[in-house]
Amino acid sequence: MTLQETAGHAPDTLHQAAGHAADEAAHGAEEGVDIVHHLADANYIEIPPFGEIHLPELHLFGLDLSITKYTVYMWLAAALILLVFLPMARRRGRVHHGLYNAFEALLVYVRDEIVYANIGRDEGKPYVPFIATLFFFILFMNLLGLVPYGATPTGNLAVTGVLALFSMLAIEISGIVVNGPVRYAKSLVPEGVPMFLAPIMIPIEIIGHFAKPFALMIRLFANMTAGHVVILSMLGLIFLLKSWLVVPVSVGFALFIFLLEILIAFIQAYIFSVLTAVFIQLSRHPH
Amino acid sequence: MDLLSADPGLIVWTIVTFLLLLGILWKFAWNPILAALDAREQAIQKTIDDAERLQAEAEAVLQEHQKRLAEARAEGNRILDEARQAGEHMKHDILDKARAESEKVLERAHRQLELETEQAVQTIRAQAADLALRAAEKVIERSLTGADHRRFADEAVAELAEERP
Repeated sequence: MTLQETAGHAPDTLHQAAGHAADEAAHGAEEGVDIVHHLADANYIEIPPFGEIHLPELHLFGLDLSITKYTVYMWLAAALILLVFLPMARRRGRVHHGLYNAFEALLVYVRDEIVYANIGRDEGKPYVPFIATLFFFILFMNLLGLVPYGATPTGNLAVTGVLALFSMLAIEISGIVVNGPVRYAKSLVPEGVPMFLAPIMIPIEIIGHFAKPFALMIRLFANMTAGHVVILSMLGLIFLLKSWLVVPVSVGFALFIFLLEILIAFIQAYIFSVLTAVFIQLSRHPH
Repeated sequence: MDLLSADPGLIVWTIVTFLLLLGILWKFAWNPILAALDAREQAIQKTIDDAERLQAEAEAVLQEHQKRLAEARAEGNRILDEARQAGEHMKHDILDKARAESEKVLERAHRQLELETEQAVQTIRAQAADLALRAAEKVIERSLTGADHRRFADEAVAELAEERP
């Protein structure tokens, strides 16, 4: 594994990969596995032992729109979703088989247990496409981090932040459309609260409106990052302690965390979409 | 590109990707799939409803038939009983009538017999008196001798014997 110092990397970070560690044991304290390097976005995709693919840089309107590692995996997730659901849509009317049934079951679960259960059957119908897209997009991005060479775009604040932003837009727009702007604004002061408390209540309620999506953003990011950090730390122990005896223990724990991460990939996609549905319902009926 | 950074490039690409994905899926995947799901659910619901309705109908028809069968059986039994009773009745009637008839016939025969016997006796009695009268006449008409006595008596007896076949 070769080292590429790219523009965005902190200069003091040591980019040392696993295979390197054994070769350069003499360097002692400077050795290690750089977890941040592994989890941060990058302008290239590492495919050990073949090398790495450098991604095109793109600057438009004064913005750095370079294609990065997470952009590529996000597109991969989107492509996989289209690959699953577009053929499924064309197969309508016929009885589905195999994997289609699994995805259909997931879709029905999203529709019935996430949208209908929280927003209601009739009121929730228009929200199914949005929440289903959210669910499957997050799920596929979560799972992509668990395949070899894969990366988890949802382990990045930019991605989870944008998803949370769309949730927030859906929540606020629903509230305004259903209640009208005036009534929705009035819900900033809950009924029964004395008027002299309004100067306190209004800022608190406004903060509440931003805290919900902010929590969504941080929750997804932290959960997806934490699993990878733990796995990498477990495996890093091998190189830190430089002993073969650590290998079974480390690998065993890492495997356990990995299995847990499969579960977490589903749970976090569920939590993100179910909380969006709950917040939409709360915003449709503020009192 | 730190762990906690949010690069504007990635933000823009996420927005673009999500909106495109949402649009494509909404139009070409979710709408047809959800419509197909709804249609299938409705079809299944309809099939179940139909099956339940048909079963209910079949059960009603079965009960109707069983009721009718029981009724027919009861009716048959009733008719049979009635016929048996009527037969029994008729038998008794006929027997009674026959017995009464035979008694009547017997009685009539008896009466006839008695009547005829009485008539016969009376006829005999009347003739005997007549003969006696005639004999007495003859006795009175003639002067009687002993021989005459004998002869008259014999004549009377012979006459009597003649008159009785």
